[in-house]
Amino acid sequence: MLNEILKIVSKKGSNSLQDIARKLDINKELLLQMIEDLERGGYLKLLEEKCHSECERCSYANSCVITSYNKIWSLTEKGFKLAEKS
Amino acid sequence: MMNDNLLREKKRITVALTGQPNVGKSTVFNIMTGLHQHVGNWPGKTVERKEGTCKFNNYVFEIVDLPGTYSLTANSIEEIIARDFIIKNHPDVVVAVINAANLERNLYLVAELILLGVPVIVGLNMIDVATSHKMKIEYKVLQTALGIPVIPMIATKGVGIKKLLKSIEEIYEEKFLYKPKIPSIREDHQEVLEKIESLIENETPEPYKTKWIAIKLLEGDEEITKMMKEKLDENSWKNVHEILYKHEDAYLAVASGRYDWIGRLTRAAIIRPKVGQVTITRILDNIATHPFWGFIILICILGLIFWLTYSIGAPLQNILDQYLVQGSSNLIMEKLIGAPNWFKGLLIDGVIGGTGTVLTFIPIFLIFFFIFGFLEDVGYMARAAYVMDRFMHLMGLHGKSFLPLFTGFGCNVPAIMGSRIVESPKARLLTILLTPLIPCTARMAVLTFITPIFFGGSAAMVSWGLVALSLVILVISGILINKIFFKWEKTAFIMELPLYHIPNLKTIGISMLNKTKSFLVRAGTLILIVSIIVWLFTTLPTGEIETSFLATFGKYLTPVGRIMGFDWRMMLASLTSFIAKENSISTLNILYGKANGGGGVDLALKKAISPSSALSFLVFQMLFIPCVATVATIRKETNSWKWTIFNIVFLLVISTIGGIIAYQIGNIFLT
Repeated sequence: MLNEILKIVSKKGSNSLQDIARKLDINKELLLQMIEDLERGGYLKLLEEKCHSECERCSYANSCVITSYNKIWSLTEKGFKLAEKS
Repeated sequence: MMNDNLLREKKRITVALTGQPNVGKSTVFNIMTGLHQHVGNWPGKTVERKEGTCKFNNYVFEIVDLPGTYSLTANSIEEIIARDFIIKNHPDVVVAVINAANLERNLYLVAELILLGVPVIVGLNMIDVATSHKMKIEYKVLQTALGIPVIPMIATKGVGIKKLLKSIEEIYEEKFLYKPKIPSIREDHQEVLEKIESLIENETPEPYKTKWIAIKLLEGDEEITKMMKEKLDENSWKNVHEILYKHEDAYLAVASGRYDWIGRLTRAAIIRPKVGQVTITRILDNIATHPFWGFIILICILGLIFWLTYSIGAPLQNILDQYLVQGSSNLIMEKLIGAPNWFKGLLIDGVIGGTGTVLTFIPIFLIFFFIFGFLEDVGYMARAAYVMDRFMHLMGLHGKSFLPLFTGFGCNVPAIMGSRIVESPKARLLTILLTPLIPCTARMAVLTFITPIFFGGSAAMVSWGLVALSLVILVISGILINKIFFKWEKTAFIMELPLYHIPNLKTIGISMLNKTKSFLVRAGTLILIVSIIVWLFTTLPTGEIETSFLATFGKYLTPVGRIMGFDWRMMLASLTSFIAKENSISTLNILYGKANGGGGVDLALKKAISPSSALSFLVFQMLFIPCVATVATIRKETNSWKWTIFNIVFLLVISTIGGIIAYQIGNIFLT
């Protein structure tokens, strides 16, 4: 199932968690757990979630339109390689 | 004495209590043992060891509360303690307390526990929480599918404890047909597992089991790998190591097997609600994240934002302008009738004309921030980002860059800093170079001020068109820079989309007020200072604007401005926007307001500037060099003067070309 995730992600480019969960017929919680596993293995990488700390220097930091990002993972080179292999 | 004798007569059974953190394991332990507890430390570790006894029928259960762990890989001391205890002390029964509301995650631990060869009972705790989440767990089905006892419990209310004790007894007395369905490794690695098993079969140290060791080796478990390396002779280890090296992804096959197992169990045993937030989110997302309709919706929402801002904000801005700017100007004229002229000029033309006008934007900002806050709180913003990401992929842009770029709608500075999330240096540079083409709130302010004056009812359409223009130019620039300077890189993402929910007005209100406050602080500092400086240079040395320093300087710029339909005032306004974008508004106000004898700037602007010049000015403003803070950040983040200067020249060229084209087109259609 883990390789399946990598395959789906590499094929489509941008994916939502919900899409993948539906394709694999599992719920979001389980998928999140698998993603964490893939992250630990270095196949996926969690991108920085919040505004950079140096935002504090920006006089508009408080008026930044987007205050909360949602989690985003990117497929690493290792992930791409495995996706191609399987 | 009597009790002690009784205790001695009863048979003692060791029960290990396991579970992930926060599943109510301690509550179960406390209820079972009551006052018969003993707290110490695990030998040589700082981790607390809790033990206790509990009498049940003819038995005394000696309960050991193992540390809470998510899995049994050797990732932490807690995990090593838990698995070592089960393997080496071989308790009679293991009770896995799991959270019914988070079954998937908790079952992973069970998948590892049943592999250890000790009978496992699942204490399915917090079923009340699961019910409140409208989840229905068929625990009998789960029990059959697992092949081990499953006891539903609400530990906090003591529900299910007796049944759990009974189940321990039954397992011990072998009255329960204990046949665990153990997760298997994914098929394609079955052979590899068997090969390793055969290689280590006679070398597995007691009390370990060969299969478990083989799995752990494939998983890359450091502790077990080290142990086996020491145990096996050089040649055998070489053979094992060769297989492991060749199948370094075997960990995924082991874990996949477990996830497949969990997936099967949950599909069989959990009935989730078909209505509610999740379903609503799914239905809405079918449209909102659709590659085509999602984009159309994004454009429509953007249009709606401008329409609302203008239809509600612009009239309010006019009222504020009338009362705040004109009203206070009149008041100062009256009250300070005896004061020197330069002082009145400074206050009326400099402070009020400059900063005061910027302050009249408050309603527009409030509405703008409210709508953005609303969209974010509802959960739409994440979809907008998702749709943009797809779109950028199509255009050959780097997908990962959309996050910082999107932040650019707030302010370009954090957007450029945020580009650090883009790992590839080339893609990062491209993101930085493109960020100034995202209209920030300050540029939006310029739009909202100027468009209603010149384009009246079509103001929203014009603004929408200008933002769209910026984005189109961004995409074209991205493709060009990408093609000319960089090679296209492959990327892929997973993005979490939150559930849609009913917005909380308080949250939106607070964020809206915070954002507006920071705008006010800015108006009171940077914009005020620039306003006063601009006023000073329009007053010195003669007191007449036409002969002032600024006018003299500005007139040098006239030839450049003429092709875009700018007079020297507009050129100067553009230049002051380099300090902060809103300065172009305050400068226009000072220059035209003063020429008009103060007040009625709207009218003065309309009289002095043709619609085609205004359009050209707007296009120029949208594409012009960003504010000085952004440029400084570009320099800092690219760490290159070459690219900073390239960016400035690039933006100067496209803004000038944009201005010229807008002016020429405007001359054809707007006059």
